[in-house]
Amino acid sequence: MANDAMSEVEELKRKLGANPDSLIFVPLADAYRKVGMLQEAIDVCTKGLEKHPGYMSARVVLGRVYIEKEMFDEALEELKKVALVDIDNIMVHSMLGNVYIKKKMYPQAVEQFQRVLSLNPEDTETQEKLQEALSAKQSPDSKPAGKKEEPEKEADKTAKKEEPVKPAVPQLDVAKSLKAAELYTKKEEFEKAIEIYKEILDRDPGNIMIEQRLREVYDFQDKKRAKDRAKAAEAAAAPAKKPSADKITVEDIFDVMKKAVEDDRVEEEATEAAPAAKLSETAKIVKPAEPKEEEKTAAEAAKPAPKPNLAKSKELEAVLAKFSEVEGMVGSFYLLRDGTILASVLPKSINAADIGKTIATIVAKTESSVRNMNQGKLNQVVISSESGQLLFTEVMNGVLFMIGNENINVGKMRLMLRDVIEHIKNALK
Amino acid sequence: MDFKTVLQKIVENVDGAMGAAVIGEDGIAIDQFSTGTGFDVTAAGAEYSTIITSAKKASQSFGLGKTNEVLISTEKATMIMMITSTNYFVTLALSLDGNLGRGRLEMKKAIPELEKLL
Repeated sequence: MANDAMSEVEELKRKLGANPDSLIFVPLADAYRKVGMLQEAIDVCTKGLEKHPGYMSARVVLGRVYIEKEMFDEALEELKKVALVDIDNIMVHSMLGNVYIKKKMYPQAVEQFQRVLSLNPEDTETQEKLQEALSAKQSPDSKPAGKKEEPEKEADKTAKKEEPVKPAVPQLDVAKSLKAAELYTKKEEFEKAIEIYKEILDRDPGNIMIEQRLREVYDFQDKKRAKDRAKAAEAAAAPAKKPSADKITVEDIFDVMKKAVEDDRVEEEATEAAPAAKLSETAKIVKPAEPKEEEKTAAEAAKPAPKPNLAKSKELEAVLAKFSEVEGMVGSFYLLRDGTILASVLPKSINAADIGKTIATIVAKTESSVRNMNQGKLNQVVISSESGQLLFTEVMNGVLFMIGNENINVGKMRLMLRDVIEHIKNALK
Repeated sequence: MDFKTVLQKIVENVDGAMGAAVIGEDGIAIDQFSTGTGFDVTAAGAEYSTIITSAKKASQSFGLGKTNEVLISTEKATMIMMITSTNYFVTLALSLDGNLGRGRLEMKKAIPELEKLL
């Protein structure tokens, strides 16, 4: 058995050695954990996360290793990051609950177990844990030292203990608040976003991800102010063709330019680390500023996106309009690798500009996974959800994306797909 | 009945099936059955979990609700991933000439059994 486990470790090490950029470091870390080589597990995960900071599964495994090493603060740090991005991850909420119990932070444990039960009310194990956490929370022993309170009356305690375990109120308000804050940030209404993040922090002080986001919003706000000031000064100086007395120096302009570049980089990093919090630029026909060569992914570098132009966009939209013949088709769009949407036929309820970068990131991640699996080129992806289907496929270094509702006629859509792809290719030639 | 038996049944009932696995959403495989024809379930676990996460995000972006299934076709294979009611998914890798419809059917039939084991 132990030999099996060690040979698994060796095999995974070999695979990681053959493909150091793959995500196989996570099973390797887990295999190390299983054989008790916890420090090696931490090292592998930490190193892997440097390359793939947005890979939440690695943080889950790292959290698990920290728990086994009884490094509960570190475990909380990792798991909280995951919970913030993947708010419905039952496993993570359960792990967080267990860590809070270890740390005797019972109110937080209760919150996490309630979260698990809101997602899976049938989970009897968590029901028991919640009951235990509630009891511990009410116990005078659970109070932190120095904060002794009047003992509760026995009758009150009994009443509280007998309180039925409710399958939890989902914490959707936080999720909605986060979404709203992101939207405000995108719309550059920073004050409102800051207000929301502060409100969340009031409820959950010390939440490092929210603190990080708040700092980012402050940064964006500062940069925007600096840009606005620079623009205003430039505009004021332009007619006279000489610098105003308010003195926008070459250094100032250089600073603003540097900050603009920095802005793009921060945005890239935010996209990697927390896609949900990403502050994407509104997609537009004008291509965003090119990142530095070394910042481009290998795939992007290998496949430069074609330069969009309005005439082509119109032509493509005419091609995409053909899909309206398919029953259940909600809309479609064609986007470039950088998230720029070249053409779209979408209902008003979907703002193509808001989703371009998200979709580009999703496509890139899927392609990278397929590449790491040595499965050749990605042809097509179909995602089936409760209320509809998404389908995307690569066409001429861009991606054709289709959205259908639950009644979509997939057969007809696929039939038309070939034709539409041909037309897109012709339009882009 | 254990995981491997259920997975083996799926693979054996579907023409062109190369392997099947039950994988946690953290990317760690619970169990797998492979015909030994180029289906690396360990790598699949790690890689596919990111695809599932991406798919969920995409669905959320368009307000389509819970993601049930992801189907990926590549130059070399077709992969079906079905998400179970818990934090796991079942995946089936098919060769290019594999029977996709039968694959989906067998997976749907097997999921209640796998869920009991989970």
